[in-house]
Amino acid sequence: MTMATSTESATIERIGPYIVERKIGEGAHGTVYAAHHRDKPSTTVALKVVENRGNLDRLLLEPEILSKLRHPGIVGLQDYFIDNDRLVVSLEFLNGGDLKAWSKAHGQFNAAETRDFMRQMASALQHAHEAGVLHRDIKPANIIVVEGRDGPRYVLTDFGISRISEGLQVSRKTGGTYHFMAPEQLRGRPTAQSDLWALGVVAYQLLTSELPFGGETVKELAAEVLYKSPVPLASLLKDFHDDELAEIIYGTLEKQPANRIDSAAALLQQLGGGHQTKTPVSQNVRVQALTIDAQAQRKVRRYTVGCVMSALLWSGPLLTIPTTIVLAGLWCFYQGQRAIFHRHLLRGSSFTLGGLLLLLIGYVVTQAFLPAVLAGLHAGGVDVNKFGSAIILGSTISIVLFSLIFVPLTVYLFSKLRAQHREIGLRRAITENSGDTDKQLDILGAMAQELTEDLVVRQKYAEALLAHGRQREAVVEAKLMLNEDPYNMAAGLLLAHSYFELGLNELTISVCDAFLDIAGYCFEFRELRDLASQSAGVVQ
Amino acid sequence: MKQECKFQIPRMSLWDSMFGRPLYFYGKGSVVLQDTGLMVHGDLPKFMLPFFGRFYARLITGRTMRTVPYSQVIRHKVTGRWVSISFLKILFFLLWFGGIGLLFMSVASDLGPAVAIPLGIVAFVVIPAVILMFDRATHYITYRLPSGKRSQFAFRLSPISRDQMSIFVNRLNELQSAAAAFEQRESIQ
Repeated sequence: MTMATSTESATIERIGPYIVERKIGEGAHGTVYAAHHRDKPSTTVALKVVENRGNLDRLLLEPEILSKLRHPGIVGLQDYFIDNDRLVVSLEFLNGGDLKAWSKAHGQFNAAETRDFMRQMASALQHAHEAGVLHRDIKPANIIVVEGRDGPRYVLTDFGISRISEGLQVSRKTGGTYHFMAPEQLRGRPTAQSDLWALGVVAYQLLTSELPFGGETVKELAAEVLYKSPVPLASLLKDFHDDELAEIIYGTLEKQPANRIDSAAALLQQLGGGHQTKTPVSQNVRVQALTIDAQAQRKVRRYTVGCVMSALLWSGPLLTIPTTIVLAGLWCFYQGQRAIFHRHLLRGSSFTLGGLLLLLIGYVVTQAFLPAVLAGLHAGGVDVNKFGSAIILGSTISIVLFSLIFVPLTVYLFSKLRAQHREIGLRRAITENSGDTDKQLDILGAMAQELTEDLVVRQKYAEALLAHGRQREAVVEAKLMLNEDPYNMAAGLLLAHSYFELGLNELTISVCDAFLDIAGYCFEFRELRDLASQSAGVVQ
Repeated sequence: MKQECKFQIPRMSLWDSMFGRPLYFYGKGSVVLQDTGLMVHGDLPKFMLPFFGRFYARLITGRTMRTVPYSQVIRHKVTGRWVSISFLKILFFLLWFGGIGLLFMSVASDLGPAVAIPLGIVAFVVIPAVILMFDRATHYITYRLPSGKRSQFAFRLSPISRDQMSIFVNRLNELQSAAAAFEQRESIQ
């Protein structure tokens, strides 16, 4: 209740047991005052007053959520009550301004400051997510900066639209600020990882003073968020060398939650921070002797050398000629089977048959080789009867031993080499996004061609195609993805979106119907279907 | 919710395997419980190579994923703990009976309780405890493909605490029940 007391000055206001000192701010979710309790005049609190607009339960959600949380990175709840049909929440008083204003005065953050910011926020989010709370509206205006001796302390505020995670979400949940909304939040399905996305957007903005996704209209912004990858940090910041931080930020800005850093705890771990650790900014600077790309290239060289050495060590005791034939046979067989898998039947069958033939020849040569060696020794005057059995026994033992050690090792190193090539390709596709879209599409296209079964790569390629207005090719890619994984919702949405953008409303509706038959709770398809139906003028 | 896992060989029933298509994921991967469905990330063979395929799996597999809508899950079977793996079962019995044998030998001979009691503890307590410690439950998920055929994949969750495991299983069950309830509600409407 607000009232002016008769005995005190007319400017002094009281709200419940609190005496208002001054107004701090006003926003969509209410007015905030600096105040103190009548029994504790020396302790200032922030008093948030929210008018009841008909839904008291909704109003009470914020204090209910805050009462579950206690963390230095989250504004602390002291008390809350209903006063004259208004909700009054007494919060910890934070002597500072919001990050939006603070960063304007402070200027662009450097890598160490950004790391410190992300570490503190990740720790706060870890605490909130573990309590089942999603913030859903992380942005600079909702983060208060309190300057201290150990550097700035960042505190998350305004849990006005946050919610407690529930079971299966079957309807759209709106809310949030468009520029900071993750693709799934934009579609109405926020998760804990949506908070990580928003944190990534804020970190990107603090580093570059630019938003990773922009657009004149909401539609343009949505298209960027859903399908475009952000401009690489290195192309915006000339003296930025913290590749590891860049990787972490890109990791939070992955379109698919399954590919994104999966939890605040994992993010905190990647940032190298423990729970509630507070390291001075100067100590956070990680000296990197090599960039991530150089490290990856070094790994490739190591794996290649290891793979070749291991193969040579294996082939040594087996004697080179028959082993080479066997290896060539295996390679041909492998290529043949891959070609058949991709329905290149003629090439596949010829390679498979050729491979089998080479394997047979290799076997025959191997069988013939030792007798030939023995014959050669005999011709050279060596008593083979004496040494023959020993040679055969020794060779057999070494073949078995070396096969047990070096074959698995070669295979292991080869698979590592392949995985490393994939990583390098994906990284290049992200960093090549500095304007040369054709080059980015070329890299992704080549990878999608090579790694046909890798749906993460295919999806990135399809998204890039759609973002660059190549809907027809996006349709083909989405169909290829669905061929591999028929229930892939992301591919289904991509296909439906591509059809919709091409104006093929009937096809959009049929794709949406197919997915709604499988999972009716996926409201994303229902919404798109409705849009397509409206466009087509179909009477429901 | 994402959980690292190690894939196991699926065990479809004879009837299902005649008409179905099991997914032979190899090695390590992850299972993600998303609202839209269960997503499995792992390595699938590009072609089937009988017997040798398991030895050269790293060469013939490729990283991929599969999505399983909760509404299409026919069965989610979680086998009991140590009984799930034949190898461990055999090892368990061998070690256990071996321990018991040693116990009897020590009792029959004149070694006395100083040897017999520790051996008894090893046989009846330590060996089962060690086996249980290293073993984890296997999940078998059978689902329906768009063609109507059945498919299955199997996995064991990577070492996590019992609490985390029960959170994962409960969440999976919750999502399945919610999807089923939604389908039922829709069909009534």
